[in-house]
Amino acid sequence: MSDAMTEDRVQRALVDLARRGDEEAFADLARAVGDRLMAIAYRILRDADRAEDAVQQTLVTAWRELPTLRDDDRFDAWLRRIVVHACYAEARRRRAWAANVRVLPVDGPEGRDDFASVIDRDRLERGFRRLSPEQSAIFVLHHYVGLTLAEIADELGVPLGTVKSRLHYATDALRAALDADARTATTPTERLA
Amino acid sequence: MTTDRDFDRIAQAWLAGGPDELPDRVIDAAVDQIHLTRQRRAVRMPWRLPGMITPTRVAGAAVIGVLVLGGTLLLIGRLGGQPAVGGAPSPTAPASAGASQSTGVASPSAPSMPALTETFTSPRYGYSVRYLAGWTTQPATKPWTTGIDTLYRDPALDAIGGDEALLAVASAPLKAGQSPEEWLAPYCRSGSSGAACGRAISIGDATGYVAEDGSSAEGGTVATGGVIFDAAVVSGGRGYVFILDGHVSRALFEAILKTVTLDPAAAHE
Repeated sequence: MSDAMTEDRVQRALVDLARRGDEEAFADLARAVGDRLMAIAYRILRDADRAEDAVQQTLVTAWRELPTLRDDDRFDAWLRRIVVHACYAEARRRRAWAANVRVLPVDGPEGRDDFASVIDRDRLERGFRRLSPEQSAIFVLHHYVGLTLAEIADELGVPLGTVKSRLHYATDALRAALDADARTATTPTERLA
Repeated sequence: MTTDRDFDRIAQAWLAGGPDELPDRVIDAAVDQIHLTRQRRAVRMPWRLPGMITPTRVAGAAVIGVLVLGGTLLLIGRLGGQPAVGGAPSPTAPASAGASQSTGVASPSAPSMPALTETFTSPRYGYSVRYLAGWTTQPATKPWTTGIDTLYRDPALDAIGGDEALLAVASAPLKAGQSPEEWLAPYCRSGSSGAACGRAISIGDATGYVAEDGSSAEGGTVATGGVIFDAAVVSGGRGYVFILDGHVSRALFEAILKTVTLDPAAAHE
């Protein structure tokens, strides 16, 4: 049996125990899925502290609502939906002050790669922060998680057309950020003002 | 100008960077929080507390239930008789209950109410109900076991619904010598309304009672931001529980209940 199959069976068993009120099983489940949730939340929110808050809220919501999960095969999708909504809430909760004082740090390690220079990352970072949480989430689910647009529509419970338009807007905005910044000599500070 | 291919590669490389590990302290904080967080029960049960299934406690619960419910439960004695239309008002009915609620039926002119065009006849529990086009049905495949909480995916439930709503129905015969009051009292008491049944409502040819009347599903799994309604009824020696959860309305719940036909003689388990 492959490791993936074993992990899947273990996760199913933990889900089953946790939905019946086993807190230890839920803690194990949280450890198993925590990194995945953090990766998604961080990429939507672009802030580690806020991502941690969103994941913590996701875990509490998941615990509370787990008994009503109807299909174990949908657990991962169900959890992604919760974390995306937690990110929406977190983004809106912090929007007021973030709009004024955000300095646009490039969080996390800056590993070398062939395609994203530091400048590109900085441009994308700034462009991404101009997106709505809904646009950011769809961009991340598509380009990072690797979901199809139909899968995103299904997971988030929004029409496929809405997913397409949000992704289209996000892509255009980020592409514009890359291209426009390349043509201008404005500094990040000037663009934020 | 950035080409599509360049953009995708740049974006994916950019997204690949960033923290991928959740600090243990976040897990610990969440676990601390869940100690204080009650799980939402999918389908509340009569005798949901394990200790209450003993005959002594059932009898005790019945006595307490009768005392608490008082005049409300006297109406249950009419089960199998007239519906609650025009009947004596329930002392626990919310003051906000309007005319359509007090009569236990949905207003036929409820705004934007989609037609209930499909019919589900339970092969196990002896009832039929109409539902919205596009919903799917999954009949129960095993008897409903009382004494424990029932989860939405439990094969003892008739499950009817779609992505944004779920109608779950369960039914069980009353135990030998058990009265409708004894069956209903603990169910009603477990509702969010507290110690007594909620408002009376017509279900089939009997009078049922609402326990959850639009309480928040708190980010629920059937549909985030949804609400939950449920009602219980006894007819012909069987207890029935109807739960509607998701992006639904009281009007839809009542409209669905209005289409219910109870045929307990047709139940077979």
